[in-house]
Amino acid sequence: MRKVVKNKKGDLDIPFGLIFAILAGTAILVFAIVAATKLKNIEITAQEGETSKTIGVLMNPLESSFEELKKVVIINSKRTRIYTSCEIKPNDIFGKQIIQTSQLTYGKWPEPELEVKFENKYMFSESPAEAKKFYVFSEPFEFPFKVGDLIYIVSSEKHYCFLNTPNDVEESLEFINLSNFHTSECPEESTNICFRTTTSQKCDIRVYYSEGSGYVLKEGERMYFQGEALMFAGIFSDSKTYECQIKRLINRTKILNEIYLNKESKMSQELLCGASIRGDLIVFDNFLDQYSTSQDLSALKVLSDDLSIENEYGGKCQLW
Amino acid sequence: MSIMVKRSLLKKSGQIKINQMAFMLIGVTIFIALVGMFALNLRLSYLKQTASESEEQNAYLLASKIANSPEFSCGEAFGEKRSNCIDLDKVMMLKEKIKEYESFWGVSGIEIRILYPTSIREEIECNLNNYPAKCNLITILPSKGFDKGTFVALCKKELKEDEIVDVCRLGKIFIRYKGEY
Amino acid sequence: MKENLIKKNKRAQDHKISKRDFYLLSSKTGQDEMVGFGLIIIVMAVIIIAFVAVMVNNNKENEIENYEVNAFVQSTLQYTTICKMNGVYLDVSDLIFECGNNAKCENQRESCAVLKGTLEDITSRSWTAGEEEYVKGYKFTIVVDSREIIIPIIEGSFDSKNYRDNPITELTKKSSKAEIYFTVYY
Repeated sequence: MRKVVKNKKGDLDIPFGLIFAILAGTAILVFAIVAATKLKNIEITAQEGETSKTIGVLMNPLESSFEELKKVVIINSKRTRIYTSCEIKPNDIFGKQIIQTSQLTYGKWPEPELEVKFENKYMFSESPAEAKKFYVFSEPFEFPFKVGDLIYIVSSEKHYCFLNTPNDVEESLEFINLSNFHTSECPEESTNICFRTTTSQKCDIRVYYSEGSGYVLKEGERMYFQGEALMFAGIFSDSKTYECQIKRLINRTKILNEIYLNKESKMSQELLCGASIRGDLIVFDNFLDQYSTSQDLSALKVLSDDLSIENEYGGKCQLW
Repeated sequence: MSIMVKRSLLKKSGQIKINQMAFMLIGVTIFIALVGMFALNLRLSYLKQTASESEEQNAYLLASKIANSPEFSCGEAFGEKRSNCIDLDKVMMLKEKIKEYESFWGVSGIEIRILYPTSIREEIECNLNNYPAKCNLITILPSKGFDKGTFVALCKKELKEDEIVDVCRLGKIFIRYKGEY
Repeated sequence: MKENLIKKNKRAQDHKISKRDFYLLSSKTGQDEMVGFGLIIIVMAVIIIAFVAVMVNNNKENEIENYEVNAFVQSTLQYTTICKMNGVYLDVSDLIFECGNNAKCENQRESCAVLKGTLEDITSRSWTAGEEEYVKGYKFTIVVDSREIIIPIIEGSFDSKNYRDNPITELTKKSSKAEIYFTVYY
């Protein structure tokens, strides 16, 4: 009996302390792994947000009152994708510029989660534009007074070949002076942008240009433009973004027009300025109200040109 | 030592070991939690600092950019193109429409102070009747917070001796940004 | 067996202790370890918390940026003075060249006197300088065709090695060249 009892000391001779240590240790390890994974994701998101915000901040020097083209270079430590898009809701006058970024991490492109929004910026780019280095340049949009600066983001790795460009466009391209913009001896993988309707070359984008106005034909969609600033906007973005941005610009033009109308009233009272421009400002305001798509730009352009001439001849009573 | 004492000690040795293990594990967990909190605090503090710096840098550049934006700038209304020049008439009209611009520039406050010439010592808010000679403060977007400012020329067309004259004063535009989340 | 137990227990001992004392000590070893470990944790926690408190406490000094000095100069140049010539009130940039020519305003005042008075007023309103102020001093100098046209406008002291100045502002009118230098010491 004693022998039997002696041999059956216990089924498992594992000390309680060891069991407790294993359970507690496993729990701690699991907790640590989960926390590390979550922190990694937070870090990636934080970096995306930081990059998008930084890009937005870097754009500020591009926006000034001077007409000349301005450019900056953005260099990231990692390969980056920049997504630009536009949002305009029914009660939202100025709409929003949306920037998202994604950086190549462990050979993968995480889906951009964070959206950084700006009401006072107008950006145009391929979506996404991908590179480590980006060229960014801007041109002022005047209609007829300055409304804002249009910003174009271009990947340094993508080449653009401008064929049969008109003289004024060629001058602008020379002024911009980017290494990936070509007018001759274009690399084979370039995106061809053709300015004449009849050309035997393969054209990715066609531009129908006549005295500063026309339309850009891209992926079967027409984007009507007035002036070089909008032309570049059509070339470097897609139809949906282009129409959205033009709508935002027109809305801002309307508010500015109202400000100038009020300024004109005040100046007329104080300085006894003539009121001839007032009528044209009111008509312009009505047409801006009716704006729908970029096809309406040509009618607005006529009024805009008239306003520009009237203002110029206003002398000491110039409004802008 | 008696066998009874030895046995009672032996009986309790397992309990002592469990206690030791338990306290050790608790201690290690607390230590890891503290280190984790420290690291997270550092990271959050860095993020806050980056966000704050980003906003501060934005505010500096924005103060200058706002002075040159179409709603403020003189453009060519006062002769040649001017930088750092604000059209006072336009700004007073902008005040009337400021509700639409509340979040436009991404800052919580904008104000302009007329520095020179002014004989006014106390703060007097400008309105359509008293600007610019009898006031020295134009609040575009009211707010509290840190101030970043830049000097600007404040220009207006005035009637002097039956002649329209461009008159420019010295002022400062202040941007108020959030600063801390 | 008793002897074996004693020998075993005395293995790590340098000095002789009684068996009773040894058993007492042994039974308290775990408690000593726990207390020691607890003390270590407490000390580490205090150090970490102190470090965190220091890290979080961001105390940024107020600094004058170059852009502010540059903006001051650009804005001052656009200021409209009381000096009228040919029916036009001159701004500071035009007045600088008239001062270079020692011209007189229509109200017979010397252009250089108007220029100096205006700049003195503007700088004193815009920058408060003094030993107890953040800005310790400033210096405003204007040179036209390599000649100082007015006595430099100076306020405060220049002992400080910290300063901000504008990038050299150059103006040209006809064949004359003006250079404006403005430095703030803090």
